[in-house]
Amino acid sequence: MARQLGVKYIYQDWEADEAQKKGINLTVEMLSGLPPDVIQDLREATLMLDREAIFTVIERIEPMSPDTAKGLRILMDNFQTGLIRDLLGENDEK
Amino acid sequence: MKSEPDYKMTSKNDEAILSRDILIVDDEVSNLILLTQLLALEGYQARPAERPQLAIDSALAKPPALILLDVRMPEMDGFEVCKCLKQDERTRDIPIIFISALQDMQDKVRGFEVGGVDFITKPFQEREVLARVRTHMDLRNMQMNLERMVAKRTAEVIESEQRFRTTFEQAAVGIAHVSPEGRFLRVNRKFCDIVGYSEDEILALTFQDITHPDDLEADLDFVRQVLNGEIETYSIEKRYYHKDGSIVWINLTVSLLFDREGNPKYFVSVIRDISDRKQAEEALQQSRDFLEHLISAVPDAIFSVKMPERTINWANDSFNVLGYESEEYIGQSTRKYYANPEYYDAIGRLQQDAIRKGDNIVRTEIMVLCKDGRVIPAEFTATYYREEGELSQITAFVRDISERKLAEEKLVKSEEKYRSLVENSMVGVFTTTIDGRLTFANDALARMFDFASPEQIIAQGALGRWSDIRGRERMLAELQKHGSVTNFEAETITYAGRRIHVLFSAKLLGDNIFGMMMDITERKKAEQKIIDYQQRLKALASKLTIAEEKERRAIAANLHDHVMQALALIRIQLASACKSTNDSKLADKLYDISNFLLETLEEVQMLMFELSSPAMHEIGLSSAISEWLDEQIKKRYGLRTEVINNIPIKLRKTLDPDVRTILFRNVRELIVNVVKHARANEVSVRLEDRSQSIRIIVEDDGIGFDTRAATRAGSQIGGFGLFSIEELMVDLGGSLRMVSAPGKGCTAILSAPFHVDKGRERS
Repeated sequence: MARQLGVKYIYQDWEADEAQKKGINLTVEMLSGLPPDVIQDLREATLMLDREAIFTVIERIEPMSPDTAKGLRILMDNFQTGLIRDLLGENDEK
Repeated sequence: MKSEPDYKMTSKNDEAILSRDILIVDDEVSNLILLTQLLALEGYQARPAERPQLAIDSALAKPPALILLDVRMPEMDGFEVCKCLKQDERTRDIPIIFISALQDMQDKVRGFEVGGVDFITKPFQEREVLARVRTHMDLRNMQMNLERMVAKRTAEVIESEQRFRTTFEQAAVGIAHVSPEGRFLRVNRKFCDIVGYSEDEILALTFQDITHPDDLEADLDFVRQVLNGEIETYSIEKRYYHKDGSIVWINLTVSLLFDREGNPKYFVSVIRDISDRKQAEEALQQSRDFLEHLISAVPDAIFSVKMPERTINWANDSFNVLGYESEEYIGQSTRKYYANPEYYDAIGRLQQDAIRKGDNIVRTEIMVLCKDGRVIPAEFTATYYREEGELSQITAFVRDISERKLAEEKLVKSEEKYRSLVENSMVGVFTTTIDGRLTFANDALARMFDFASPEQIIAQGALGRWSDIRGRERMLAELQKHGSVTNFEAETITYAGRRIHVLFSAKLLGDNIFGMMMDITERKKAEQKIIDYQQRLKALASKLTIAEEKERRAIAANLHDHVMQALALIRIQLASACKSTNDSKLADKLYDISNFLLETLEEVQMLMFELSSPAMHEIGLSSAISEWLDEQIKKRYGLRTEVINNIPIKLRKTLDPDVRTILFRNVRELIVNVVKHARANEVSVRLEDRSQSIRIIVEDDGIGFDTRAATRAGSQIGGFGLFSIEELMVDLGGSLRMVSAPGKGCTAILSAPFHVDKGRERS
């Protein structure tokens, strides 16, 4: 339960800008720099809300961009799938 | 029943296919984490979404099995998310369980209204969450399995139905489903083709409607047996009426279908059109019947000889005509039936000859021997049938012609008899062709036309010339129209140039005219004489009337001039004698005589009037009639009388005295008739002038009469009186016309010319 409360805390203060303050250095550019098949797979997995699939993609990103992988992991730990999709440009039009 | 799928088995098999995805929507990450872990532990695939829009997108992209949906969210509340998902086909049926921190009843109501299936209240009881999720997953699974099963079964049914329909429709035989009462419930195309009705038309009918009445009873009997369970199926040949009224022979096979309760559902009837076969059978039977009938009707003994085996085949019973029984001739040679062996040999030679020449038929007359020993004349006819040029069969007919022979003899005798009758007849008998060429004539006819013999008149070619061509045309027209003419009169000119009157009757027989003719010249002459006598008689009657009238006038004049003068003189002398005597007794006597004399004078005067009105000669017809009416009718019988004269004065004097006399006499006669018979109150006489003729109309208001009956000679009413009036008028060149009817009075119209042509009148 304590872990649950901690997470809750993190989430409550969470803002996209704040993510960067907390050392998550994740930008739209970082993600768009990834290979197209990876981007496509990440898009697919996030839309499906398939956490396992998302983590698998993150593992593939790890060797090519450890920072990106780290940022994504933090977001996933905080269940911020919507935010990942924002960075992928999925929700731009909305 | 056996074919129905096992529900449990199906559901187990299909379970693996169903997804165990559960979409969790909550803006509170702690709840997401908790629920994700909880469900993951139970083996569900949890799909957490922290944003409502992401949840909707994800659900549409891959519909989950179940959705746990938080009610309170900042961007869009759970109810709206729910509504959104319910609007899409892909997500409409996914069960949604709302998660709510509130115990608010309103929320729950709203949640169910928008399509939620359940509620979970925060904070969660883990077991409750799992229990609810499991329940709804099971429900969903079950529902999906059911739907799938229904779809599968439906597909199977459709497929089976299609298979059945195709079989039913495409079948080469007619198939019908028929209710136990006989109504057509369903028919296939072939059935419609056979009976000629459309499907809609046939479904409005019963099999009884289209079954031939002669076949119906048998069919209904089978139907009863099937319905009673005595038989399961039956097959018959019967007739249907095609829509066009023709008869269709069918082979019908019927079985009965029962429903689950075992009650009769409908008959399945399979029909095959066997009309062609039936027709062929019928034609064959007819031809057999015809042949049999022919053989039995032909009074011939018939046999055929098969060549070259020479086996004899006898037509059934046919030799009975000669009195033999079948066992007597089967297997026998025909030799013994000939009256003389020579005939057998002669026939043999004749046949050999014909066969050699290639003839197809030989006919001859022979004498045959009947069983009873009679020898009778017979006609023998043999026909030869060849196959590929070789004689294969001889068919022979032997006919008893004894009666024909007798009839021929009779005919010859009868012909002789009638020929002699015709030849010796006093009446001319002839035949001609339709265009008038003489082909036969008897003696009488030849004599009539001044020929020495029938041969001469036939050689001359035609009957005498018609003096009136139109007469011949008229006769031919009548002959063509009615086929005969009777008592036709004509005038013709004989060979010697004599003009003769003939009366003839003729009959059209084929292209020939058969006729009889009589010379009626003498009769015609006699008739003409009678007519002449009649004419003269009429003229004499007129003359007689006129003479009678003259005589009357002479007597009247004589009475006036002599008798009346003398009587008047005697009276004067008596009066003076009376005055001169003193003897009162004598004077009285003389006075009596004088009075008696006066009466006599008056009577004489009356007699004079009756004889002849002196007025007519002095004052004219109209006045004479008027005076006569006054004196003789008005005074004596009390009738009202009236005379109107419309003839112009200058014409009055031109009236021929003879005409005037006859008219006066006739008017008088008519009025006497009125007095005697009409019981009239009034009689009027009108004189009128009609260009060259005078017309006198005598009209009464009496009882009238039937004019047709009256003008008939000898009638009681008109009698000789009217007849003589008419005769006199006709002789003058005038007429008498009577207009009357019972109860309607009578009008007599006399017409006569002012002048009489003396020459014509006395001709």
